[in-house]
Amino acid sequence: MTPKKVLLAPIDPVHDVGLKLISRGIREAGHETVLLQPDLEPEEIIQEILSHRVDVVLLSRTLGYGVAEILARFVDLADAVGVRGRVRLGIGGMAIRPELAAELGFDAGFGPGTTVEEALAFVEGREYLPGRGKESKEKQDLTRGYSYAYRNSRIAGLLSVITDGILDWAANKTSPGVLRAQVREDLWDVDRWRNYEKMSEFLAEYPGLCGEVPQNFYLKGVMHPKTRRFTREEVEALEQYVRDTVERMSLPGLRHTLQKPVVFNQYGTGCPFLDTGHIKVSEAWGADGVIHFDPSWGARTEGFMDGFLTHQEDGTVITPANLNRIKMSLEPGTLWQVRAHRGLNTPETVVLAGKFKADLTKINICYGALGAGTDPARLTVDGVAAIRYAAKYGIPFDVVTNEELCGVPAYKAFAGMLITADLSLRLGAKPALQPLFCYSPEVMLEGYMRDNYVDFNVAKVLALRRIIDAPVWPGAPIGFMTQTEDRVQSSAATSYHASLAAMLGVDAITIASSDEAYSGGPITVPSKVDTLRAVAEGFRFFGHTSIEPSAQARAWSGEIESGIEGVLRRVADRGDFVQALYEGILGNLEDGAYPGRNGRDTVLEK
Amino acid sequence: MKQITLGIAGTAKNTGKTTTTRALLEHFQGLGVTLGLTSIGYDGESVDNVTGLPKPRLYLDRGQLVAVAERCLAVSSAGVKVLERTDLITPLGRVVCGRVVKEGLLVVAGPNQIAHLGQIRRWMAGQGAGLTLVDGALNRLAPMVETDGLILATGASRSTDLDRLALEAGSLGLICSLPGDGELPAGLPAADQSVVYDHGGRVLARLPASLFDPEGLNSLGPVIPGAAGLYCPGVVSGRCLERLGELPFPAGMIFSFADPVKILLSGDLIAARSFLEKICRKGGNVVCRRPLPLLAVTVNPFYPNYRFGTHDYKPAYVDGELLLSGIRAAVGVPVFDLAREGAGGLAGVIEKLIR
Repeated sequence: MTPKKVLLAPIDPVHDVGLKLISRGIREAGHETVLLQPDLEPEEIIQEILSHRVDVVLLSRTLGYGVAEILARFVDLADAVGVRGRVRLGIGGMAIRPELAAELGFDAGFGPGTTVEEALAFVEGREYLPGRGKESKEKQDLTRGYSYAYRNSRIAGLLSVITDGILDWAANKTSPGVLRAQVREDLWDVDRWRNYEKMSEFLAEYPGLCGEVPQNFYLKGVMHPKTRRFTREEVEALEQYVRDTVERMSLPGLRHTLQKPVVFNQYGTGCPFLDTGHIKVSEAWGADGVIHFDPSWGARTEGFMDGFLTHQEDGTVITPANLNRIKMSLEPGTLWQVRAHRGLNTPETVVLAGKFKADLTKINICYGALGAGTDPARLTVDGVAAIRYAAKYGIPFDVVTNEELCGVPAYKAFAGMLITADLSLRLGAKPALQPLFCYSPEVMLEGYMRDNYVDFNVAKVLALRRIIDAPVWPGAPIGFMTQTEDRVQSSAATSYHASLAAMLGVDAITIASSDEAYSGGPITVPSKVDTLRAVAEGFRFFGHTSIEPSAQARAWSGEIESGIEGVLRRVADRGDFVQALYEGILGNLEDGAYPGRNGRDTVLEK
Repeated sequence: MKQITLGIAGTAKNTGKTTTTRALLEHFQGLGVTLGLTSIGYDGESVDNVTGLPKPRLYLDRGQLVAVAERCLAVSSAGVKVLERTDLITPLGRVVCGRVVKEGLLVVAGPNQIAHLGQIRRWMAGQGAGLTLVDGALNRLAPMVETDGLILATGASRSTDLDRLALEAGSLGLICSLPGDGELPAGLPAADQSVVYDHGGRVLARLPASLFDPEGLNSLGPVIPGAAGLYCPGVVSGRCLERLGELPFPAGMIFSFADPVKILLSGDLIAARSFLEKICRKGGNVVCRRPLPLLAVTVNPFYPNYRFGTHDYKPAYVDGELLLSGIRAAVGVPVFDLAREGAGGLAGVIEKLIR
């Protein structure tokens, strides 16, 4: 390429550092640049263009009322003196967009965040694609590089005993959930479904394994009372919305110079259309992944309906059509987690996640049984099956410890998490540990966060790392119960927790919107943007700054580790994991945990 | 019926260019005239790109001809059959020419350079457009040299000082009414430099094509007594006009410019008017090789008032009666307030040109 001669000028009283950076980038690419002083009149810049015989002019100017006329007069002068035909004009600055550039008569407009590469493409006459492809994202494997080797051999030994017991206990057992998952796995083909082929064998088997709501759907065509199908117009509008949004959105990074943590943002408004909007916002404001939230009644219902359905309350119904539409709206580099952890559809959810190529799922027998209302025996049978499917489809999952929010102490919740994790490793799956970064009831009662939110969260991560070499993914969301209805406070709290997570070098975090707990309905986009921006700013502020655990954090981590060992010993001594759940060894009524009742007495002998 | 191309230019943003365009579209679409529409800016959007305030929309009937950037079509409800994809590239994509096949609202961003507008003008004429409207952009004028005449939109958005508005409009009208005189002495360079010549057409001095620096005119001293004319093909700055008016050229001196826009772009209409008056008083003459007549003026009392407390704009107005009467007294062409009077009067001016 013939080197270009480029004139850069700030039509402003002060110099624009962005213009200087672009000038340097252009020069380094082999072109000649002429950087003018600030505060020149349009006529003076025109004279410089004439005397230097340049090929390209890049101006910068902060826009305000009356400024547009100055820029338009500059373009007029360039046209009237006869250089407009051979000199390409670009304008950059705050509030500059392609529409405004067109109105002003420029060849291109560059808004805030313009990269040197974008300006260089304009200089070199390469295609200018405004606002797209500034950064592409590639999916990260959170489990890569982890050996899953135990560092605490006593705990490893106890877990091995417990896992043996679980597998023995579950070996000859099944459930409606396991059977449905098997039917979904064997008789339901995603490609045939996408081709609108009727899967008679599946439909002959599946409804009989479902509860009343899905049965009514398949056999009588009756919808769940709080759901309805999208209309054709709504579907077309959604498709148009996705096309238009993809056309103009960019994919900025959130982590500044950091490689991790990968940042997940939740969706699950009940309406897949709204969800899609939230997903696109999450992507456009830098989230690496999104998490599907289903309604709480879905966890208590045996089986799934189908159809592209919206739901009038929180939580987006899991149906093949809903998952398919959401999958289609995702950018190729966006990680997608479909949660399966807590209810009567756990194994089938993993099968659907696998067939729709979700990147991650979520499974925890102990939390689902003690904090989410599912019968311990049922969830143990279903959990084993779900983990086998996760291994088969190669889908990693986090093992959540939300029973902490019920009041279960961290060491007990962690013991439960490690049991599910060890079981997963035995079955060939890849778990990630999910300690909560939260202001839990235990923390409040014991005063662990009386001074700061840092030490106890650091203690949790240190304890887990001393036990096993495994990925750590605090959640869910981080800062749970530290946020208030004040959006600034909520965003700041999330940002601080995210920054702490980054300093601890964890692999991923899940964040919420600043109005998540207080929206009184679906979360709003501005609130979602709040926390994403706040987290990005936290990462920008601290960069690779590290944190040295305090003496208090080290002491608490030791207590947590020994607490975990104690709980696991009691479970192992009990010799029956399921009974240990019922009896409260992993969290009891006094803690705030209770064995769930959904699916009780549904475990079947094979 | 003649084919003509009209430019709707403004003295600033929000002076009523698109309102004028819309009024003329509505009037002439009703009369069955085949219209051509393009814009050197970005028009027909629902809210202003700078102020965020509502803007007038452009509604087109079937059969009308348009030239717009490709991305405009995607945000318009009007359906356009593309007849030609030009090689003109804008920040909103390639300019395409076509015919409206489904009536509706159209967002219009078109060619924004003199040469490009010329290309579109020829296409419109070739397709049989009786009246082609070129919606302006902000205070841009340069591409309008490709039109047959101007309608000027001015108003409070340019300035709330009504006396100044009237003075500027009067000055602009005066400059646009300069006599056209295409003849230069044989042998003079036509485009790449300004020259001072004598009665025999001999070049006495050469200067840059555009005159920005008044100091550069000092070199003319020795040739001034023998000068008969000065030709400037480029732009002339206000300070150069002022200096030219002061220099002791002989009586009867002729100052030739390429077109009125080259003087209008001086940036100082009042200095330009003062120059014209000074030359006339000395018995000289100022002419343009290519005329650009001002046909009418429209006035708009609206202006966006910036609110510092909330960092946004709210609509505000000057006294419409005073504005209208002031401009009418200052310019020698018809003046209209379309919001109060409707489009009939302005359309009448144009109908006379077409028929």
